[in-house]
Amino acid sequence: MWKIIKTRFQQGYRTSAYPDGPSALPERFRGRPVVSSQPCAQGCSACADSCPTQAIAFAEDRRVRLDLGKCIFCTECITACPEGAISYSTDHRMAARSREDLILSGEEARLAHALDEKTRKLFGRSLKLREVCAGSCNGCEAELTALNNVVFDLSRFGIQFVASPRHADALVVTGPVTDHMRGALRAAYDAMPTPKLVIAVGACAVSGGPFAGSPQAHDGADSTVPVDLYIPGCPPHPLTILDGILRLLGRLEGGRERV
Amino acid sequence: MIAHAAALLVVPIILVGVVNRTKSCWAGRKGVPLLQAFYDIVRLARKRPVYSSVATVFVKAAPSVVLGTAVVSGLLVPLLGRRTPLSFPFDFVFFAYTWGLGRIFLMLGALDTGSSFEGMGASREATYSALVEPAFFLAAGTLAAASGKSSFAQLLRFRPDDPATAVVWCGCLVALFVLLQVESARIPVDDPSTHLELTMIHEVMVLDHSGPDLAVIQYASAIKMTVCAGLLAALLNPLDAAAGPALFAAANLGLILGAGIVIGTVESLIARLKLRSIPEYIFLAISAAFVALLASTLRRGGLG
Amino acid sequence: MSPTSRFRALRSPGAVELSAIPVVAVEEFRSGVLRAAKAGLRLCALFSRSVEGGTGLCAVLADDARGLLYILFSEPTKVLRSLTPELASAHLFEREIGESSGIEIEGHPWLKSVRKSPADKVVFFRESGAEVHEVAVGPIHAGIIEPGHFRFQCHGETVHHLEIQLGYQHRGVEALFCGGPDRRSVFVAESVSGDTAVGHTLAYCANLESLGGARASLRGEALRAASLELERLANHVGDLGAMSGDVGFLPAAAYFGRLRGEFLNLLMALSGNRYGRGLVRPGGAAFDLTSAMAEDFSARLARARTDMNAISGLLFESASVLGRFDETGVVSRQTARDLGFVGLAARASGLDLDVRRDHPHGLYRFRHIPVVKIDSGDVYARAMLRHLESLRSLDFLEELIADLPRGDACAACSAPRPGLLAVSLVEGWRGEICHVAETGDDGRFRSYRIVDPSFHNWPAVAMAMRGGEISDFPLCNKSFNLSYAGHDL
Repeated sequence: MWKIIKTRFQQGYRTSAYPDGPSALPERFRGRPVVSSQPCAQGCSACADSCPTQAIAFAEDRRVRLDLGKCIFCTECITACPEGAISYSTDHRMAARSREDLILSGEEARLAHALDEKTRKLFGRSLKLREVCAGSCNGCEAELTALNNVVFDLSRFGIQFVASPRHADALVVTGPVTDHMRGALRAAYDAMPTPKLVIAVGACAVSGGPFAGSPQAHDGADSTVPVDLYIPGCPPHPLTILDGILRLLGRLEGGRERV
Repeated sequence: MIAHAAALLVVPIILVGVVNRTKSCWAGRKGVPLLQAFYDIVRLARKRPVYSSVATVFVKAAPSVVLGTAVVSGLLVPLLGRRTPLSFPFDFVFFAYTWGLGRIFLMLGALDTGSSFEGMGASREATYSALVEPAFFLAAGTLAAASGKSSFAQLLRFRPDDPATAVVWCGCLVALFVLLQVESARIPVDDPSTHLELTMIHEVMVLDHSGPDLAVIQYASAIKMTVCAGLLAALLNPLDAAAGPALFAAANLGLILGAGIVIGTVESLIARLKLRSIPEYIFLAISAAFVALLASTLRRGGLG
Repeated sequence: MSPTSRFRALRSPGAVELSAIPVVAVEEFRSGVLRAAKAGLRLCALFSRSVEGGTGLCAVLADDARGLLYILFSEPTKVLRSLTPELASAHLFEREIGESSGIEIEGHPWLKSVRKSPADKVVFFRESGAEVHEVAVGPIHAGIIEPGHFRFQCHGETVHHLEIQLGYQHRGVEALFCGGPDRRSVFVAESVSGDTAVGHTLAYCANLESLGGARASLRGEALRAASLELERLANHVGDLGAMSGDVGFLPAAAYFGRLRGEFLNLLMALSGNRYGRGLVRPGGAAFDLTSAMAEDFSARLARARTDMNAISGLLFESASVLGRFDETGVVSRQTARDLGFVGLAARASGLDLDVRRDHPHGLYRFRHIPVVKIDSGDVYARAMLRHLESLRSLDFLEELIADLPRGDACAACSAPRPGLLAVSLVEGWRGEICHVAETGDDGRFRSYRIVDPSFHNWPAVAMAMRGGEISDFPLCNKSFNLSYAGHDL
């Protein structure tokens, strides 16, 4: 027992100050991409051609449109672009309420806004999550598990993962929704008491990710359940997930936020 | 009387908070807010429950019976002071059977859902509570015999004044502490935060309850833990009648919350037992209570 | 005649002309594989391949003592007389062949689907008797974990038999490689099993290098080895924390959870992603360590080692924890050998298997990590093995970071040449990863086969639970921590 006490003093208090303190992410962290608002040269589609998930398209005015929901945060487009029109910031904030809000095109990003007042009052101080893996490679699961550790400490916000869908308020879905998991996912959603939410975590759950178009998967959680919050990433950093959920609950800044 | 009822309603929330904060402190994390149990119950009460298609009346009746029996048992135990709202000779027997009524409805509710896990949980619950009941009766009975009183409010005022009575007192404390761990599903008997349904005892029986039903059951478990802690506090309280009711009550509440810190610390220091070893652990409680009984009998017989 | 004379020998990683691999009649194929296995070779992969005229078979066997792989093809066939009754480690491979190709497997003791049918559509072994009951868990489990179905035949709390049915994570990975390598391929490799991103990508890139006749740069190999060991450390520490949490030992669970984050943050500092995605690329590594970063890494690794020793000390000296770990979930050495377990599960049962020593790739050809093995085969062995392997990996990393080879992090890698078969083995943190690639006449993949260590090892969970307590199942399962996604592809 003395050893445990001694080790406790050595290990110390580790919960990060975020969101009241800085996020302390390293230089090479691939956070939200920054897309140039200048039109690109006619005939050049190097970025779109190199993107593994076809997340990049061009608007009529030749401005780049990057779909964050399909983005798997690799570096292909950065390397391919001769003009440096796309680059990564270390900003971890990316979650959005709708698929359209995930499309970056040089304007400011539209981050997730909070739920309506009634739901915010209900879940503001106590939100229970039920996780369903529907074909995820396990990367997103690992980051969700990390949210429970002493550094990110999800429980300090009154948010916890629970064992049964009946105890849960929000369904956290990962994976592109494989054929075999479709029924189970729907059953879990139906087993939850109302009011309920659905959070899609990771590129696969948002759009299918690297498995988009595979005949054994259904290109994301949208195919099976109505989604309230999309958190892009491959896998999303725990702070990205935390930021998204706190924004949804209105515990960061209220209302629509533009950054 | 009103103060007692108020304590019975408020202290469970704070006690759960104290246990969780103690655990967070040991882990080095900021942890759950102190009043989180309250926020959880308020949220659950505002949700619309979902019932399984094979559920019948038991699933719906269980939460109310469980809460009712928990509250009634709380009225029998001196949480605040020297008098309890309900008190009559041998009320500790009534106490044990009130709990038994609550437990049987919880188990019926679990079996009613048709889930094999909940069935397993019900069978484990039946086994361990059957094993710990003798410990409770031996402890309460010994205190009754040793103090010459038969009602909770009075027999818990028993204090040692010579080595033999010290043995009685300690044995009963040990037995009651293990009772708390078994009935409130704490480590080493059960892990309240476990996510592994195959290892759960209490938690698995409520996996199918949702919304207000779940709120009621969570609240009832908190009340049960408070009641058990109240038993320990009443046995430990060093003050006597001369100290005045307010101070006495404060000391009692302090001891209850102190019990919460001890529970949280024990949970942070040892691992949970293999399910097969739990009967051995419970036997520890039975032995302690039996030793207390022996000491009390020998003392009355003039020896020791 | 030596048992492998009809096979084509190859070192991993390496490529060989398809035309140089002998093609024999299916009966000779069968007897050849059985004879080689009896002589002590280990089955790495057994799968079907579509050729002109139908579907044939391919077997890859390993001679760990000599560090060689042996490959054999069979002619197209409609029927295969099962190898499983004489070579139990072929069982799951044959079930997979039975469901995915048109070949009928005759005489297989338990021919069920592996990936194609969910649990409610298949038959399970049922025990009958008084007071025997069946418990079904999954696909959705109570924690944050991948889906799978477990069917227990129990008597009270004792498990007599456990049957595992997976396939819920089947995303069609192997099919996505065909026609490649295209712009998506390396990213699919990174996503085969998310916590083994570095391991699988390493195997994939090694294959591309063999097919292109290129070599990765030495510094690139060093960076790859460093990231593979960091991945191993992060997962081992994470598992120790999870096992502590499963038995309710909160201090170790909390401290290990944070320590795992330290290793992931090192990978993030190097590659921008906590799992090392984007790091391993054909020709070497896409990100390099500056000397300032290397110094920082050394300091952080030293601190991690002190923490590791302190926290493991707490865990392994706690009597209540040892009471849970000791003699729980025992897998005997004979079972491990017969069923062909690999990696951590095998070493914890006393088998001396490690690809880094037996079929060294990359930097492991020049720097060796001592192999740890323990004989008891229980949860304690698997936990202690993780601790000891972590210490070995820390030693390796500290030496490596202090003395990285000079040069470019990445060399050029040419396009795959046509008509080749490439095999690469990598010791991922769970065990042996095997990738087998075949290119067609156009130099594009005509087939890509992946064998994750979990494909070999899932039956270990079933064997470990026999005769055990059902309440020990989560701890047992976590002590293996196998990949559902890697099994299902």
